[in-house]
Parts: sequence; C-alpha cells; structure tokens
Amino acid sequence: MARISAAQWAALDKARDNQFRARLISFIDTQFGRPEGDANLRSPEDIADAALQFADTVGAMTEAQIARIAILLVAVNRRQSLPDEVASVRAALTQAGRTPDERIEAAATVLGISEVVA
Amino acid sequence: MSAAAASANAAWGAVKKNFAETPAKGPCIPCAAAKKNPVGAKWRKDAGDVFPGHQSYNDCGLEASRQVVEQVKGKLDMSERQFMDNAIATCTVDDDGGANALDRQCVMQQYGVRSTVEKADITNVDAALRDGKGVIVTADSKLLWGMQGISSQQGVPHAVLLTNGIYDDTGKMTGVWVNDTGIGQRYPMSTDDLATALKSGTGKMNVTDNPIWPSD
Repeated sequence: MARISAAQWAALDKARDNQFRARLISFIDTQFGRPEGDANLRSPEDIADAALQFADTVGAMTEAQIARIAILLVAVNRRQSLPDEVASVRAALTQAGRTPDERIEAAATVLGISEVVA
Repeated sequence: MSAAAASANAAWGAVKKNFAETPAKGPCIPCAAAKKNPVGAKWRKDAGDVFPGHQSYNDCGLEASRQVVEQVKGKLDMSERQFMDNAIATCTVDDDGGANALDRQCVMQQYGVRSTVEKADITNVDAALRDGKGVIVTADSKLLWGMQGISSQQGVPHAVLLTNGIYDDTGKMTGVWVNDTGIGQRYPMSTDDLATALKSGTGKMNVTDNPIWPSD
C-alpha cells in the first residue's frame, strides 16, 4: 500500500476543511441571503469563518453544531443585538458544565430561536 | 414574528437536512503525531548549542535573553560584558546586570525579538514550549539548585531559559530542559519540580511572540 506523506495528509485535511466551509457559506447564503447596502451586516463568508473559529470555544465538533452556531451569529448580527444580548448569547455558549448541544440550545433560547415544526 | 426571526427559525430547522451530526473535522494525523512530541533532533541540538555556559556577572536574566536573541539572530559578535553594558545603557537593568521580566523584554526587543510577560505557570509554559517559543522563567536559586544537588547558603531570584518540553507517549509534558547559566549546566527538570520552582520565583515569565526553535 502506498504510504501517504505528512504533506499529503495535510492537503487532504485542508481540502476537507475547505469543502465544509464552502457548504456552510452556501447554507447561510441560501437561508439568509447576502446582505447588501448595510456595512454592519456580515457576509456569509465572514459568518462561516467566525462560526468555525468560535466552534472550538463552544466545544462544537459536528457539522450540525457548527451550522447552528453560524445561525446564532447571523441572528445576533441581523438583529443588531445590543451588548447585553450579545453578552447573554456568549455566556450561554460558554457556560461551564454544559455540553455543546446544551450551550447552543441555551443561546438559541436567548435569541428566541426554536426549531420550526411542520 | 419578525422576518429575521422567521429566517433564523427556518434555518434552524434546515440544519438537519443539510448537515450531519458527524465531526466536521477529523483528526489531523500528522498534526496529532507532531503534537505528541514537537521537539525534533535539530531543536534539541540548537538548545545545547545556544547555551553559553557559566555566567560571569549577576546577569542571569540577560544571559537567558541573549540565548533567545542568538537563537533567533545568530551568534552576536560581542562579549557577555558588552551585552550587559548595552542592556544597562538601553533598558532599566541594574548596574550589576540584574534584570526583571520587563527588563528582559526590553533587552530582547533591542535586538528585534518581541515578547510578552505572562503569568508563570505550567499551563503557560507548556503552551509556549509546544509552540517552540522562547521561555524565560525565574525561581529561587537555592531551591532550583538544591533540586540539582547543589547546596547554597542563600537564595536569590534567578532567571533561566527553558528550551523545550519533555513529553510522554500520550503527548503530556512530563518535564522541561533548563539552560541555567547560574551553575553553567543544562539539566532536565520534572513538571512537578518546575511547578514548585515557578512558585518560588517572581510569578512572571517572558515568552517570545514567535517560535524560536526549529520545527524539526
């Protein structure tokens, strides 16, 4: 069997990371559209990168968890959230003793987001 | 419900259809292997090569700083005395060479090596050494040298350069290598001993902003 070099592993990791980022950007774009004419609103690329960065802090590992974090970030941004609300969301996302899912759910509650049941 | 809230709720529901509950990032195999023991042969060699031996003045912090500078910039064309005199002239170093963490930061900056002063604890040491950064810590000399079997009458705050961590098979740092110009020796020290030593020091340590040791 051919041995995969460290450089090849790194390239594969990079490709996979890029692929997920691209899917995340596309999802945000589809769900929320691309903001125009308001410099305060962040682009899907910006939101995706922020979500990927923030995922480590939350302890989020799965695709779904990171996507939900992205939605939270969009919601905060679109609502032009007040500092108190942003602080509450951040506190929920980093609360000790909670699983990543519990943190994300708590942050969603702060923002009044719940899953739409058909 | 506002349009923004409705979009967020709809997006929340759409997550399940678009994203799996599987890890977004798998383990980076070469990264994991590298993190277990980041110290390669060249790093170990450089850690020994940069050590100047026994200091001639009360300039432990300056000699530790000089090692960092020379690791980054190459060998300086000046004596220990000249290096000390320059430090006295440009930073707030004592006339006999004594220097605190801010003085060491100033001295390294004079040679273009940027650093920060951090709280001296095992977590910060581990993180900095794992990243290949230059780390200077202080400890009470009597305690520090006593751990090496060298007795001394009186302890003084003493600065040493930590060159690299020592790691077990799981990647946990179990010790460090110390370049100690006070006794002119390089020696390994367990993490437990280091924790004790750090508590006896000033509580501050210098960490370079950038890695100084080779990644191989």
